[in-house]
Amino acid sequence: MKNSTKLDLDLFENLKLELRRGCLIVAVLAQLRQEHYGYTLRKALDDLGLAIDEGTLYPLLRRLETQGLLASEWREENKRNKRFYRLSPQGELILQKLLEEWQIINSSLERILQEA
Amino acid sequence: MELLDRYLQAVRFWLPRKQQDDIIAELGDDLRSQIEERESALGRPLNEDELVSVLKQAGHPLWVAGRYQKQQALIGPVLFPLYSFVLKIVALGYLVPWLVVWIVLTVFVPSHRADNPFLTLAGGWGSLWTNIIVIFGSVTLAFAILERVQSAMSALQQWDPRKLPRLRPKDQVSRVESVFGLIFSIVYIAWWLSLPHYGALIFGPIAGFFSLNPALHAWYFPLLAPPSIVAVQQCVNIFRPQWTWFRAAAMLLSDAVALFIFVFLAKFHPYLIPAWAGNLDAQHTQALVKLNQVFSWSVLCVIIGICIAAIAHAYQTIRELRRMSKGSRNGAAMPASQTL
Repeated sequence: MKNSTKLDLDLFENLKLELRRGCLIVAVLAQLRQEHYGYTLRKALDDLGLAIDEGTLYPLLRRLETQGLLASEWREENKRNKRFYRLSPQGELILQKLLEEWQIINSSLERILQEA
Repeated sequence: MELLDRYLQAVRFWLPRKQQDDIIAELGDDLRSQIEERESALGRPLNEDELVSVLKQAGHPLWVAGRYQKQQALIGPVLFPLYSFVLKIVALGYLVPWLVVWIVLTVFVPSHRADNPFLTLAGGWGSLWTNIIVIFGSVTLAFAILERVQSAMSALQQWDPRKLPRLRPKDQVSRVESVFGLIFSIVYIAWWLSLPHYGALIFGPIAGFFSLNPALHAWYFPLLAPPSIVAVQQCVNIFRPQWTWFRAAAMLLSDAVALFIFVFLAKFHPYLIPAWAGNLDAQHTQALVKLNQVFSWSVLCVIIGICIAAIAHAYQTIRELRRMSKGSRNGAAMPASQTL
């Protein structure tokens, strides 16, 4: 019984991770319409109810920057060097398309759930 | 903050060289910001336990650094099913026979058991472990190389669904299988019948010195029964491929007959005796003992093999008969095709 509960929990965690993965990208891109450095971005997302740990956020930022969706620069603030990120023009376009796609998926899902 | 610097140093070690400074500066700033925020909330510097808690929340250095690496797999999801299939074939083709022989030797041959104590797996199975590592390692290496070059391979992109294998009829015995099986059975039966005439050729140089135990001669023709039953089944299934139950039942019958014969044969040790009444010299006596040992082990292996096959064929027979009875209860067309 205990094992099956643990399996259920593991399964749920894995599925939750898969569900969050795509959403996090959209959330990060959307939040970076305003300039942020890593810590303030994390705080902003957390305040809006989407907690993300540093081990996930920073590699994601790096990947999005490599893909040309983000631009970054090092600047000094509060006597410390910080890397500021913002959405690049290409990122704006992609975000727009992703949001449209998300709207389609969301409304489909709502219809499916209503039918069920 | 020494603990934080030690943490960052540990993360740095696992990072790609070119990105180390950049990543550590950013990660360090995040952690320092977290610490400062907690300190301002508490109104005092963090103690060691609180600092440890912040770092533990950030994750093990290896895990943190790993998140910055490109996702890599030795064998990717495209090739993995093929890799897994090849490993299974290797395991079935090599490991299972090895295991069967090992069990037979360990259980039935006291001298082998004494030389190789049962529990010394690492020692007694030395050759097996070496071969497993070499075989599995070679297969893995070959697939890892294939994985690296497969992006350049056009085979997976340029394929034609029309060239996929034809659908295998589900409830039929393959005619090709029956024909080739029948040819093999006839060749085997012919070989067995030729043994008395060409025994010297088959037994080679030992034919002049040793001969079969005369008690075994009575079993010469009965030993033709199992392959003959199989040959009949193959012949029938060429014309009635839908009689899948017949194949399962015939194989089971063949197993039962073969098991009966070999259990009796096992009692006729020694299987080989001197070809003439006089005494053999020491060399030939030793050879005779060894050959009889080999024969004993072979008979035991065959008995175990037949038992395994009989279990599998019994299962298949029951499954086929159940399928038939279920079909007849449902009034489906299958029973007619299965019986006509």
